[in-house]
Amino acid sequence: MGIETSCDETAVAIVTGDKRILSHQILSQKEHEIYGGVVPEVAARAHLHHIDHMVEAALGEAGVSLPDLSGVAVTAGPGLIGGVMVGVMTAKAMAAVHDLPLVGVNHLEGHALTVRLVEDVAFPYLLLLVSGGHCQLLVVEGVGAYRRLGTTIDDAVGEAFDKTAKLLGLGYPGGPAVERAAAGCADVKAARKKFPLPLPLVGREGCDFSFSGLKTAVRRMVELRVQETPGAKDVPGLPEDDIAAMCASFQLTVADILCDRAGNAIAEYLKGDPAAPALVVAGGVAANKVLRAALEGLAEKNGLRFVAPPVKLCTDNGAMIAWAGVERLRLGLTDAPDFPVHARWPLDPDAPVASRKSERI
Amino acid sequence: MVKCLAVNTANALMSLAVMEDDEILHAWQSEETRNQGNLLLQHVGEGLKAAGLGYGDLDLLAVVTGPGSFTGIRIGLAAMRGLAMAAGLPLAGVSSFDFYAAPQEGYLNIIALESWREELYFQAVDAKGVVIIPPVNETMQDFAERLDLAGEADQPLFITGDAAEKCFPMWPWGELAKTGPVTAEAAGRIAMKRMAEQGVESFAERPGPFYLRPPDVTVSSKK
Repeated sequence: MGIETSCDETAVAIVTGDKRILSHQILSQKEHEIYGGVVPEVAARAHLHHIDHMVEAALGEAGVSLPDLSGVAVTAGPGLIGGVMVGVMTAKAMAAVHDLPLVGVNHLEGHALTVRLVEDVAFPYLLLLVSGGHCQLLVVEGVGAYRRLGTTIDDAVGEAFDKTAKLLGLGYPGGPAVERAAAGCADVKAARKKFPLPLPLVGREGCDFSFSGLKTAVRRMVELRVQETPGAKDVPGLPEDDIAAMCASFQLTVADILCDRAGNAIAEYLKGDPAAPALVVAGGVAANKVLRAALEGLAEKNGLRFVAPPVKLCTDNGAMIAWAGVERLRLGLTDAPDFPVHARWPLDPDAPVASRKSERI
Repeated sequence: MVKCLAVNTANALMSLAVMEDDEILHAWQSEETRNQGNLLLQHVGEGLKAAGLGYGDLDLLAVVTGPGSFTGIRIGLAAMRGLAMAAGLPLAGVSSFDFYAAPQEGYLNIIALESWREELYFQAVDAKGVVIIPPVNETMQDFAERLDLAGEADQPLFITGDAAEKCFPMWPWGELAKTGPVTAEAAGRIAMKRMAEQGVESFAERPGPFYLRPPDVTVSSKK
């Protein structure tokens, strides 16, 4: 069983060692929509309200009872600590009663290993992890063995999506909203010409990302468009075509940034001469089809296999935590009943700090 | 004979008690509030072992639901709801007010609970146990005004709760009592009394938290 409560999804799933997902319960908290972002205390309260019922639902869906489990895996960080704590206490309690092995999973490791739940992908593979809190390029050398090639020096890519959606009045969460709106753009080339956006760090060495400048540029672009549009006093006054075009331009800009940085990472990764080179994407932003297509093209060009887990396993879910638990249990990597939680928990603690602002892990 | 495991993590004194009716088989407490979550279930396991019991031997679980530290409340409730679910046991939620609200003959009982901010948690109960002012979260000045308006201030007062001493200057004619924090043992006693009076069916639904204060809204963009 895997339990995930580190952000705004209360999720519990049960998977087997032979890659079957027996149950997959996810509750996306709606309480945050009015705030346009996740409120930690609101999230923690909602997790507590639902978690035991979600566990019962997952057991029911799988048709198993607690003593049948081989172990309980739970996200122990990084994330919003109040929510993490709720999941961890629930997991520890269940494990205590039935004497089950416990695994405290790094949420990022969950994302990193998910692909192996659905495909046979051998280590080492190159991972692009893109979500609301993270944007990293890592070589996954094995369970618990990660080499970070690059990370964001300011904001995560998902934040840029959320901000863009908010500026354009598209609601929260921003990723799907921007993708939906962009799909309404008939001519993406023209859209990009009409609404050009900067490409931070593109063309430079290294694999780090930067999105804060892009966020600012989107804000200026929107403000300017409102000024230029006769009769439009605010964003809702803009023609729908303009909103679609701005979303399309933003989305393609992000695709270019990701492909440029991932391109550098591929070169670095191939230096290690991997036997079966593969580019894997994971994280909530990997649900975006335009970004997926761009990255698939990049992988193909460089002779890498491209693997992206299905969308339901890219966004936060319990199955990815359960699978990380399976991988760890197989190696005998269980945790003591008093294992701690971590608000910050880098996958590669030896990676140099990507600076300008402090690193966001 | 009722065997009960009770836990309190809602205030500055974390505690647990393994009890059999009135008898305490094992008790533990700590003022160390950091890491309490990590340690709680370990101490529960050790406590049961020391009492010679397993989870299957218990009849009742009890937990303090608040008001108090939000994080503390959630640690206790998540753990105890998890235990209740996994062991198939009834779980009683006991609020801090339940503990202090015992009627005091001839007195109005003001309960003042610590919140670690300017606004405290208050409730007032009369000599018969009737709630005169239901739980509120406000400054002691605001509560004093509320009490005046209700025409209740001008009578013998008991001031109880872990913030009672702090509030004493507001009502210097009052008497301080029960100023210590709620303990697991007290929660266990209240829970067992409730089970005896109302039956185990009254615990059919697992209890929720008693926050009494809405969440602080600081928006995080993390996901």
